[in-house]
Amino acid sequence: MTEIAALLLKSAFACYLLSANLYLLHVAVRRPVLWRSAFGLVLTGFALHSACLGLRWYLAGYLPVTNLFSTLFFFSWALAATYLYFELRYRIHASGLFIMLLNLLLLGTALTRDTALRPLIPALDTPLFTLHIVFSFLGYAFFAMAFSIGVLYLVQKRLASRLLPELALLRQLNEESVFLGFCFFTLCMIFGSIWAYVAWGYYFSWNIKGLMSFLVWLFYGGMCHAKFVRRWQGTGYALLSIAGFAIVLFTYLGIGLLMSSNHPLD
Amino acid sequence: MSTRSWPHTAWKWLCSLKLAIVLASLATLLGLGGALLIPFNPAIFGGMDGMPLGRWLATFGSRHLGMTWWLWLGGALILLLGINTACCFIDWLRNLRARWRKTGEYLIHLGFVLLLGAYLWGSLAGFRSEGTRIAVGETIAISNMPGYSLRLDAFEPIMNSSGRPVDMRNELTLLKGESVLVRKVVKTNQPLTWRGLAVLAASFDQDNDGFLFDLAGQGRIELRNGSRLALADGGQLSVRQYLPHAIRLGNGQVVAGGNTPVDPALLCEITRPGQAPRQQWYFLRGPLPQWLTQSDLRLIPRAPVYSPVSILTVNRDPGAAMAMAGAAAMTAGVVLAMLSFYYKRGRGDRPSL
Ligand code: HEM
Repeated sequence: MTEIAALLLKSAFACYLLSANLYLLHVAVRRPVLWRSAFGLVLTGFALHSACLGLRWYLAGYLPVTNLFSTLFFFSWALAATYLYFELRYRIHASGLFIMLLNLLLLGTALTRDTALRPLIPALDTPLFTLHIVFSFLGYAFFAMAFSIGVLYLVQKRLASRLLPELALLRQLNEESVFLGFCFFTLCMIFGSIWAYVAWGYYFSWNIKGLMSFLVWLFYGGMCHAKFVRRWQGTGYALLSIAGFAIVLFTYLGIGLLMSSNHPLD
Repeated sequence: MSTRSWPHTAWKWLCSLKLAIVLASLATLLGLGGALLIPFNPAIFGGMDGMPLGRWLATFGSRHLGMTWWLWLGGALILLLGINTACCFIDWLRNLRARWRKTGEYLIHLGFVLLLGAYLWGSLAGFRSEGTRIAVGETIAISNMPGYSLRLDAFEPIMNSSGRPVDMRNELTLLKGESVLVRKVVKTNQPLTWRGLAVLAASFDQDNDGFLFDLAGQGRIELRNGSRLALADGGQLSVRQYLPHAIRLGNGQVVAGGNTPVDPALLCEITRPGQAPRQQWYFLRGPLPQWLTQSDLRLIPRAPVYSPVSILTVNRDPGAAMAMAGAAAMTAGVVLAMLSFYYKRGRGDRPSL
């Protein structure tokens, strides 16, 4: 069974890799067949990725998101899901390439890591933990999408290229990513707080990870309003999306890898 | 400015979206800087979770103002943001007829106000205590809640396949005076909760609370506080106290010196019909005292005996139910807001600024 999981994982990686190359080719040579094949490969990759996730979930008896391998693996799954959402809804094609590259990077890093499934310790044995993790990575994935759309917006503003989507669409995508990311992240914070309450007896912990997560939430909450202020629309929003993602990266990776906290990564 | 217009202006200002953005941005920037101080100053910030925020601010927070000023200022900004959000929500309620489609968004706002209010309440009126030790059968008073007590009815550590303790099972009863309020099996992630009180299983330990003896003619017996033995002459020996490390002071008084069985001793009371009870200390390392041999009790001390003690966290947060209501409002709000998002997108709605 674990060999099947490994095979699924490698096949998913191969599909994503091939698809990213086809999308890149599509930027240079505009042929519908290219993006259609690329899209088909993302779909296949995502199906394999989901099957692998489902199999590991079944084998472990819990959603495996407890060590560095499984969080990278799950984050990359969330990124792929986010990409698919925007591709299906807006046909963004290569505009979502950053997300696919990030996905490949995460999955590639995960491939080299220990994939063993260990018995769950009682502290993590609660649906609150699963909900907390699932929503946090969905939130992060949408924030990553907002970042990449923000960068594209700035590029497009300069180049006014016909290869990239129009500014108005990019702006809309950017706002949508931030809003959805904020919604998921809110749910992540709520389930995390309830879990903290039943595990520690208080629902907010004053450590750097807790405070930074609250700030991430506040920042994107603020962004949900900034889009109503003319000065912050478009370029301002793109810049805010980039800044927000920097805070997210610090909160997820910086603290997890550089400092000790009650949210260790490995 | 006319006197009629200033409350109106103040209200508009308090309801303003721009104020919300400014406050959220300032609080975020301030917090980003401050958060970095937390891991590098454990002497100041390390104990923050051990007490309600109000108490921490009154002690550590005001003693180290140079390091904590950002928390005071950030707290003030968040409080103002809470007031801003509350006003915004009230303003929406007043125009509900025209703006009911925004119910999801405004439930998020209501949730934030409730959560903030709850946190403030808990920070000012709650308490936290860690490391409360309780043995099976013992009843302990909850400090800070006069009249309330906790009783541990049963305890059992839960081991994994390799024999390592992974969880514990506490059968706990919360009492007010003599009457039972709640009974609950408390384990990891399963606290006993009652009106803001949360009792959690934090850890466990064992206490040396008695001694194992060979008793000539009767086999092995354990003696601990409360044990009784019938004497051949119709009298009775009752153990009144067991000390693992007993120290006899110069004036003859015996006091406790620690929890490890260094010099264990039993305070025994002998009662005989028609005689006044007599209490005497029996130091187990010494020879069997005459008053025991006279009673024909030939006790031979063998080994200390241990009983498990549960270590509990006992916290009270009077705002907990309000926080839960806030979380529920926010969750419902997020779901509704997401549902209505796609609908609104089509119409290109923007609030007036
Ligand atoms: C931390 C506090 C706050 C949070 C988490 C929050 C969250 C949100 C969210 C998620 C939205 C939906 C955005 C969207 O439709 O894309 C929203 C909309 C809005 N918020 Fe807030 N908000 C907060 C504070 C405030 C405050 C203080 C005001 C007061 C002015 C305010 C006014 C508004 C308005 C006017 C909207 C637009 C509703 C509409 O679509 O018509 N918010 N807020």
